[in-house]
Amino acid sequence: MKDLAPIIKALFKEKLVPFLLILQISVTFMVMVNAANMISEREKLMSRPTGVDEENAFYVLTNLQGPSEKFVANLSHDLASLRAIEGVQVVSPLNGVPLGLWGNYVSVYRNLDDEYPIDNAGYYGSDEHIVENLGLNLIAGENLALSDTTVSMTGNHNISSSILITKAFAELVSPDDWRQAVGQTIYTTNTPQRIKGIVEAMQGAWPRWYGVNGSIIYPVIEVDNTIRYFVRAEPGQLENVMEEVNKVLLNTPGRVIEKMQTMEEVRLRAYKDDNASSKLLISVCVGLLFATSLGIYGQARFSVNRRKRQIGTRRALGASKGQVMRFFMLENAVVSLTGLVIGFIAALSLSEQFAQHFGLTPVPLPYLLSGMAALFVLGQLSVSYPALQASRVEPAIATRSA
Amino acid sequence: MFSYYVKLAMISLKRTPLLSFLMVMLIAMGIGATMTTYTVNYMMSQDPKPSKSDNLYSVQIDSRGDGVDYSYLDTIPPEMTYQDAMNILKSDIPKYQAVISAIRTTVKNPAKYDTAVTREVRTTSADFFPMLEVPFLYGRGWDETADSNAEQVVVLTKQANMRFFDGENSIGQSLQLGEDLYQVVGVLDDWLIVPKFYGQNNAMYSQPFDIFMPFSTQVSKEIFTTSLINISCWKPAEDESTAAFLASECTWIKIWAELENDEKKQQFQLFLDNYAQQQQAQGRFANRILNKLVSVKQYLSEEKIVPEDSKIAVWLAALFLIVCLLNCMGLMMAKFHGKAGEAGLRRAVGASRQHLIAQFSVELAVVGFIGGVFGLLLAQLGLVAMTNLYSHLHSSLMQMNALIVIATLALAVVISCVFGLIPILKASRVQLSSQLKSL
Amino acid sequence: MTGLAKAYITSDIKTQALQPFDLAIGQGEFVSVIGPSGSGKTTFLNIAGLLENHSEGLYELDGQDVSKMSDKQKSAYRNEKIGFVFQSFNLIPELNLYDNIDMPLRYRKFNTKERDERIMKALEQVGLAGRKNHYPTQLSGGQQQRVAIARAIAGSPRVIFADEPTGNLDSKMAQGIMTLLQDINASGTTIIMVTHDNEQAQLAQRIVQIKDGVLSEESSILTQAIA
Repeated sequence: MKDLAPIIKALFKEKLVPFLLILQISVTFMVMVNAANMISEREKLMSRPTGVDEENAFYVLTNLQGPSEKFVANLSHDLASLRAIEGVQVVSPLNGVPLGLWGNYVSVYRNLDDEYPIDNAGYYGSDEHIVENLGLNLIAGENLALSDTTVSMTGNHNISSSILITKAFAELVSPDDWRQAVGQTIYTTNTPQRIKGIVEAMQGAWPRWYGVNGSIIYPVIEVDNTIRYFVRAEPGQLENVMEEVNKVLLNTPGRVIEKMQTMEEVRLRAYKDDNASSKLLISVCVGLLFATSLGIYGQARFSVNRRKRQIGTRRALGASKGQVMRFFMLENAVVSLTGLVIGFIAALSLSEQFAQHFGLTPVPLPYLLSGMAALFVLGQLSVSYPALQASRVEPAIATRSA
Repeated sequence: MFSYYVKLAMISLKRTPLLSFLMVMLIAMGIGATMTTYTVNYMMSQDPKPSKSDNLYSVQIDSRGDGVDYSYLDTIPPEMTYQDAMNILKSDIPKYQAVISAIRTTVKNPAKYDTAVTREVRTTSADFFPMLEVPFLYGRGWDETADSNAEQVVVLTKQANMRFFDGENSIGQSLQLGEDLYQVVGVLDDWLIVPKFYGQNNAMYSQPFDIFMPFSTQVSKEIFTTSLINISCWKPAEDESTAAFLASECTWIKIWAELENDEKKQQFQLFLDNYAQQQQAQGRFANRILNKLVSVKQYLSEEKIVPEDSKIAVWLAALFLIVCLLNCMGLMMAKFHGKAGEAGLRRAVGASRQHLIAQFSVELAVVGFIGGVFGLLLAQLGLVAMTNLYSHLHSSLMQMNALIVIATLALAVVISCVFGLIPILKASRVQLSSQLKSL
Repeated sequence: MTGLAKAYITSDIKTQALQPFDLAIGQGEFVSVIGPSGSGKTTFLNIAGLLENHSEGLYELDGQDVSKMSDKQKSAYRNEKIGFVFQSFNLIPELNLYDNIDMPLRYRKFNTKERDERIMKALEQVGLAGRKNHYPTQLSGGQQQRVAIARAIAGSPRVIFADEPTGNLDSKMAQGIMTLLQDINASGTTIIMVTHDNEQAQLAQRIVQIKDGVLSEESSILTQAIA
């Protein structure tokens, strides 16, 4: 440690070069921890459960043959033939899929003439098989029954029914005890709806929507010229079932299959932007770390080259190899720590800026601390080779003329 | 003198190949990252129709009645009801005025043995084509008579014409949409509008729809595809019939208008406000007037079209560039440190400080330029990677235009010199006499 | 030069490099400056050659007060009227002979043709015309010093300052260089040469001696040598 004072003195004398390194380390640290924070925020966002048995589920978007009077009959025919396929567990019509990016929402009121709604909720219309179909987890109340199910051209408008809500929405309906939401009546589009049961989770259509976890399932089959069938296959049967469903549906003349997507594909598409951003952020971080370690390495090499005579003299005067090496390691440690302290402050203020302008969560302290440790180690690693070279300088160089 | 400095710069770079390589690569990496992210962001936030975007307005009226909660009263949906759209379309104040909606239907060429495919169809009115100066390869857009008679006509994009008619002049031919036959009246030339501001927010960075048909025809044929448009109803329709839906308070139609000057804009605003008063008198609208004419630029920013991630990425890349440059600055110091002897000699034989500053600046400018060229190459790779990452976006977003290429090179040269300023000044301030002995 | 002095300032020790002195040198003279190493010879040359500033007194060059010249004017003066020959040649290794000689000419408003003529003439004068595309490292020490001299004379200076021009050369090469300098002097260029070699100093018309920063003219030495 007795080397510390001369190192600091020398750094002050050199000014610019160490200053550049300090600046570089601090900017790297600032960007890195913020980027890491953003990546983990995304991971958190993406890991929220949809509530659906994603592994075995897919949906198919197809047309229902008209005229409109025949929609219901055609629908029943489709459902019957799909359910007959081997390997199919359950099939239901569903007006939208979780994270499908297209969907509906309704404003939910506690009373008919309330001025403000409780909140908005994602809207799903299906039949009584839906809980089993999606693999939802019913945690309170009762499941939908065949008698609850109705068919409509316009969805839930004007139809009063028994509904299921998600736990997240139940907590809004009945803040004290979400279980108490069962049996309550709420109003959507001026129509009373009785809460029959609560499912653990079923996400809405838009991953970035604030209300994505609050959804309502109506036992209302929405018929239109296009229809979406949600299929849950027996485990391991997904591919076969998809092929078979395609074949069976195409038996109907005039059938057009617009889209067939597994839930895994739906999820990938829904978080495509987030995944892409994460990858972008990771590449920026890798680039930064590479550039910074290159900078530390390069500067150390040049300073060793420049100070060869000085090092030789030290060696001639009795400094050991280890001492020379320690000198350079220590010098880097001083520069790194200074940069990291400045970077710490900068990172906090950048994090605040991001929080203000882009609504990101501030960087938590453990990130800052582990980031500091990581960069410190990186600095020491980058300087170790030039330091080793320095330790190998011959003491004889001191007596040689320049 | 400039060419002399360039020659000296090249000699100097060759003298220290590793150092020069590192400097060039650092600048290239920083520039590559910055320009990759900047290009995407720039392309996303570009003006879709520079020639007249200042005169194009989204027409927004507040048709919500009394007793409706809207926690955010100052935001009006950009869609309006069918009855309002039809009434407002009657005004002849705007130079052009077009309704915008969309349907999805099956399409096939009835003359070919071909299975039908599903396509999204833009439903609009005659003014759409002249308003957006859409280029035609064959024929032209339909006229107002076609709108008022709900004629079964379509306009195809060049790609759609290629798909259904093998790229031949298809004017007068028939195309089957759903169960009905439509006559092709026009085929577009290559047409790109980014962002595609007039349609759905989530599709602004995708290609225009393949097929265009009159909105009036959509209504008369009663084709609606709710998954393609925003529908919001503060009051449900009376019943499930189409007539009830059209008469309902559901908003689902966009109107874009071209107003050539402020006077016209004020006139039209007045027209909208009068219309709103009239509706209030009939007891339909609430007792407030919140009608708005929102310009394209304002619309894009209000609807937050450019993803925030994209902006953050540019900032982070810019910081990355700074780190690379700080790094480079250290290398420049080392580089000029080795040139102190030459600097002293040149000063002795009569070069002024300005001469040296010029010489070193040109040297760094050359480094910057080469770095910029490599940076452009890296950015191209970066954009290819971005095209793969963001495969759902329009690939034209991932291309640099000539302006960006030139700006990139200029940026590389300028920042190299800016960050080289201190090393250059330091090198030019060489102690004359002390350097000459030891050279 | 009247009453010149130079103080070296290093952190806290002030050293007077040269004591005040008076000296006048006329056009066309060949002056040797001799003295042991560390005596202040090089400082004298640096001040006289406008490479360093003096701290006291008056230095007039061509009737102009040097202390009133800007850095830019001094640069231009060095460029047009002064040529330097250094002990260690100071050629730029990555430039060929032609470009090395070209260097000072580049800072003057000569056109390409005039520069070319001057470079070729200077090369001929030092006997290296055939090797203009060679690089300094391909030459012997004597040849390198000839290139340096060619560089000094290419701009037709009024005065050449030579700092130990033969210091890094063996005696045979040194002799050739001295002959070359004498030839240049014969054509009217003033030469001021710093050396610690008495024998070479004798070749000059005047000898100035510096010892411990004190400058004295020793015309006696010259007279003795002739006698």
